[in-house]
Amino acid sequence: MDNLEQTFNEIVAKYRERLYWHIRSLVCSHEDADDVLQDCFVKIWKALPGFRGDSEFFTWAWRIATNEALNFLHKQKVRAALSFESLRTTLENRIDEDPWFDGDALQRDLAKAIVGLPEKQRLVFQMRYFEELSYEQISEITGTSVGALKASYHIAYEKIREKLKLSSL
Amino acid sequence: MNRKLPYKTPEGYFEALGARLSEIPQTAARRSAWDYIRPSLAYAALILFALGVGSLLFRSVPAAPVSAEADSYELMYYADLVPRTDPYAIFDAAEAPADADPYDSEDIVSYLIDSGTSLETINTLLYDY
Repeated sequence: MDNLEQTFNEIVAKYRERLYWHIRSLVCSHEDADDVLQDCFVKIWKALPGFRGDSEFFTWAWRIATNEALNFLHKQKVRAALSFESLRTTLENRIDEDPWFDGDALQRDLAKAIVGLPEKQRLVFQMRYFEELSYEQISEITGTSVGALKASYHIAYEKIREKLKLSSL
Repeated sequence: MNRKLPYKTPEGYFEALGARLSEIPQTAARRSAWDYIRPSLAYAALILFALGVGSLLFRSVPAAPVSAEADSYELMYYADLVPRTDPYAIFDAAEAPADADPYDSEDIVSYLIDSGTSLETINTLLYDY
């Protein structure tokens, strides 16, 4: 086993679970998250020799995973449009039918409210609310300014609160 | 509200996932070799396809008759070789015996009439000698 392969295996051991949950939060279903995660690690392996450490490895890997998940969702959007559905409806159905959903009714409503958000708002909300990443980290991953991210999060938060009719989350 | 994602995974998923993801370097290496060979194979297939189509086109062009047994319809492609005096003779060419005299007296008479020879001369040429 060469050094590169050893490094890759260390990355797999260290990040596979967190990357899975990051992707799962975006694509919702376990099977889709599994497929996207596999593609994500293939990309990481291929890009690993060119990784020069200019950015933190965490940021670099999260950027790859986010792009893979968003590409997957864009394809789903096209498929949904072909069957005269919206991506939101498709994802809501997945949440309802997901045998690996592990929450109560309120959490199901929250999950559905989140998939109804525009892409950028959804992304920042998921990363901030569930993964508890800092705005600076999200900014590096998404390439969006911290100010814009804060605004997006605030709008997303208000939309969800309105949807759930809750005073606080 | 709980900030944990409301999802779970199948039992033992992450252990199996680790083993599966560790195979990526070997799988990717095999795929890279295939990616390298694939364009060459595509070019080879394209050349074979072009040769196949070319060969079919050549076969569809009718060949010149090379023997007395050639189809009489193929002989029609060579209309300038059909005798003016007896154009239907080409249909009998295949059946004619190899040692038969190709011209009989009827052919000779027809030729002489066509060439403007007078009847007297023809009579003299054919029957007086």
